[in-house]
Amino acid sequence: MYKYLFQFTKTDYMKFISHLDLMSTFERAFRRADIKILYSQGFSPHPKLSIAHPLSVGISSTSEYMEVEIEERKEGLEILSRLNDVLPEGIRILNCKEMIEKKKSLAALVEYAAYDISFHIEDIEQDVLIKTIEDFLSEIEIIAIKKQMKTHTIKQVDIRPFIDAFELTKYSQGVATITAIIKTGSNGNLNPELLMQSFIESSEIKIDPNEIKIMRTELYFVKENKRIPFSSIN
Amino acid sequence: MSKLNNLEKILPKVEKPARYIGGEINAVVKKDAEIKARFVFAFPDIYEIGMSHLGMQILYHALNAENDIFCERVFAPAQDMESIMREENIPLFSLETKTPLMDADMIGFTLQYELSYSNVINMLNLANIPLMCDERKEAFPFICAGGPCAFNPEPLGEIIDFFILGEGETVNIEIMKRYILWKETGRTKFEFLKEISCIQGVYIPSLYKPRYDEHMKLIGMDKLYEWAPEKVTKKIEGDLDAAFFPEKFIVPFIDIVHNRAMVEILRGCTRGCRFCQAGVIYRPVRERSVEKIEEITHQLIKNTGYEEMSLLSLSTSDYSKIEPLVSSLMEKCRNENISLSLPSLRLDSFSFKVLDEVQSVKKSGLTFAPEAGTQRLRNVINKSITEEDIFNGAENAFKLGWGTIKLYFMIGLPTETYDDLDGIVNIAKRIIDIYYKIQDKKNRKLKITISTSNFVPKPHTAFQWFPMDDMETLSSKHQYLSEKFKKMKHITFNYNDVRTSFLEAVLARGDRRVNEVLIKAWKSGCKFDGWREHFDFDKWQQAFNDVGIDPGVFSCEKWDYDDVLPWDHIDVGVTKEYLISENEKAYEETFTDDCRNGCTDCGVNRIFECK
Repeated sequence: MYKYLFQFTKTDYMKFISHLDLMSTFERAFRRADIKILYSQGFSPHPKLSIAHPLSVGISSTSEYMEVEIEERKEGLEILSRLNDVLPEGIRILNCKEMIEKKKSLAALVEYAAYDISFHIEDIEQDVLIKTIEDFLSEIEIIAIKKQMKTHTIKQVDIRPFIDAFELTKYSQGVATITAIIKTGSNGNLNPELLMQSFIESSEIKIDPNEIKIMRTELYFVKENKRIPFSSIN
Repeated sequence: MSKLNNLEKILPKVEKPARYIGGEINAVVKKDAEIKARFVFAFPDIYEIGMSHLGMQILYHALNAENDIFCERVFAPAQDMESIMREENIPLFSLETKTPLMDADMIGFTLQYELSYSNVINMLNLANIPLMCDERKEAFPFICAGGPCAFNPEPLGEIIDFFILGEGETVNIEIMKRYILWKETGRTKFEFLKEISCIQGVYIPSLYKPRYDEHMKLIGMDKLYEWAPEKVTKKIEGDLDAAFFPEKFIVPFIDIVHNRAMVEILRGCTRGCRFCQAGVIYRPVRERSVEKIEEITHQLIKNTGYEEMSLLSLSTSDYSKIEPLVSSLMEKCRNENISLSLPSLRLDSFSFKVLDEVQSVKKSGLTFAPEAGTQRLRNVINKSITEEDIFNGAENAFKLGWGTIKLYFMIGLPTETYDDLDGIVNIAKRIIDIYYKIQDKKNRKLKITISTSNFVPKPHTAFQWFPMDDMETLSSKHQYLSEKFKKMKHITFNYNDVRTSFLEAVLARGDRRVNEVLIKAWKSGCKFDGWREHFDFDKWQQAFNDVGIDPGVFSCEKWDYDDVLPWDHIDVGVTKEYLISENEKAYEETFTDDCRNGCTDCGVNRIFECK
């Protein structure tokens, strides 16, 4: 058994396919590439393929991660190129390396995610926008209303502790990009769409929620109180 | 990303946006400069249903194998998507290049079930294409249609420019080639239709005019042009090994109804059930060779990466070399971690051996289709399964550990009485007894599902003259069975909505006057009639009233052998004399043997070769 770490993109129309659909897309891609992956034993065998953190439908990513167990040892580059030949447009493997040391699963490592959030605004000076963002962050608590899908109830949560960074990184020709680093994973999770909803409500800036484009750019784990990007995992 | 700039904006708002994005593995995209004609394959239901249809995969890849032809796909958008498209003025577009359908050269609808007709109309409207042939001027694409329901084309005869009757693998290409030549010479649309009217399988309704008597009873179809064919004969592929079969399938991103690779091993069926339309229109039976099937399987697994492979036919067990084929495929699939599914297996000893191996881990349900509750009625409909077959099958299944069984029956069959309904109940009782004898008290987990559908007479069958039961009669029969089964343990009883079946019968046996009703019903909001949550029978009744047609004439009236049938000018190969003799034999409760055991003179070999 050989375990590989993959970094890949999920962009363009591929942002509209769900986490489960992405899993079967990969399973089939491995079969088309003639790379045998391992399956769990038992009643209904499933492929040993896991993606670090699901991406909501509609959000793109330049940097997703998954680990896959493969029957035969191969060069990472060979796996990468064979997969890229058979993957749909929008999903590209950027990196594939064997993971020698087995620690926790990728999913258990995830602590933070970075997002580039772009939207169209008009007639607002850059300083005003920066000030608005600062005001938003200076709140002691930011109460967001979370809809619980399963129970159909509404829950109020303070999302302020989940925001590590939220700053304007680009603003030109009426398109603003905010880079946000927010808590992600099983030890606390903030959805970027909920974050933007709170921002829009508190700031009085007119932004059409349907026009916001969100791109995940990195996942992080924490080691010795430091955020470390997944791209540095060996 | 697409020619429709607002598509990306609306997709986040709809359920399952991946229905509308295209870009799947093995979907074909061609550049405008490379092609001479664009065809759009239109399936009048949602993506998950249309994408499960093998015919689409075959015809799509067959057309795209031609360099200068580009075939794209379109499905009926779901309700949420349709509303937004209408609000935002987004015309219906093809999945491959997001091109408005209006810009295609030809749009071909597949008619798999009658209840999708209103979706055909709705899709044309969403594409901003006028609904009636005579409203579509030279600039609009040609609208054609094929599939099993096209064998009675009349209910859509004023909406569809031409129908393709039979199998489309080669005839579609021939039509497109003629189209390219026609387009280059800039003649009228009528001249194109005239040109293709001589192609076997092409039916052009505008060349014929129905004639009615003073009671609006159909008494003939008049040719409007000397050169129009007297009768249109269906087109079939001769040798299945030579017929086109794709080496790759489009692999959807989202889960669909039949999410797997499929190989068609056999086309047609020799058993001759008298209610069955497929058994007539796909005659004569043709088999694909074991070698060819193995080759296709190998290619499909390699090119799709699917985790499941399925063999397809009307009756898998009738494939002459089924044992060696299944053994060889099972081995291949086991090596590749792929599951093999074998639908439509008859439950004989070989099947049990296979099923036990295929399903060694999961034992999903077993299915029997006795169709009728007594031997008498099974003789009427010519269904060859006996009670012994069913009980032996059930016993075998229980011994091997199965506990879930599904039984299919039809209600409202010609000559049916309440004794036949009791027969259904008795079969269920006997199966429970068998189970109790085999399983001890501790592990009794029996589940029997009795699924009934309502008999609907279909064109070109021996039962085409028979009426369906009226809705009250059917409802009472459902009621009767419900009461009986309510008292029994282990049984789930399902039945179909009678109003849906009634409409299905009207659309199946309707004549050209139905076009107007369809348009009226669609205008009042009818679409997705096969979906319980959308079906609105009152609107349909209103539409029939408005047009002044009694729908019962088409559904619940017995027709005579001398009556002119709306599809009399369509030749499926099987003669009317044969259908009449089969209809008579039904009354006599006489069985007609499988025609592989001796020709039964159905007439198909006048035109096509039987092997």
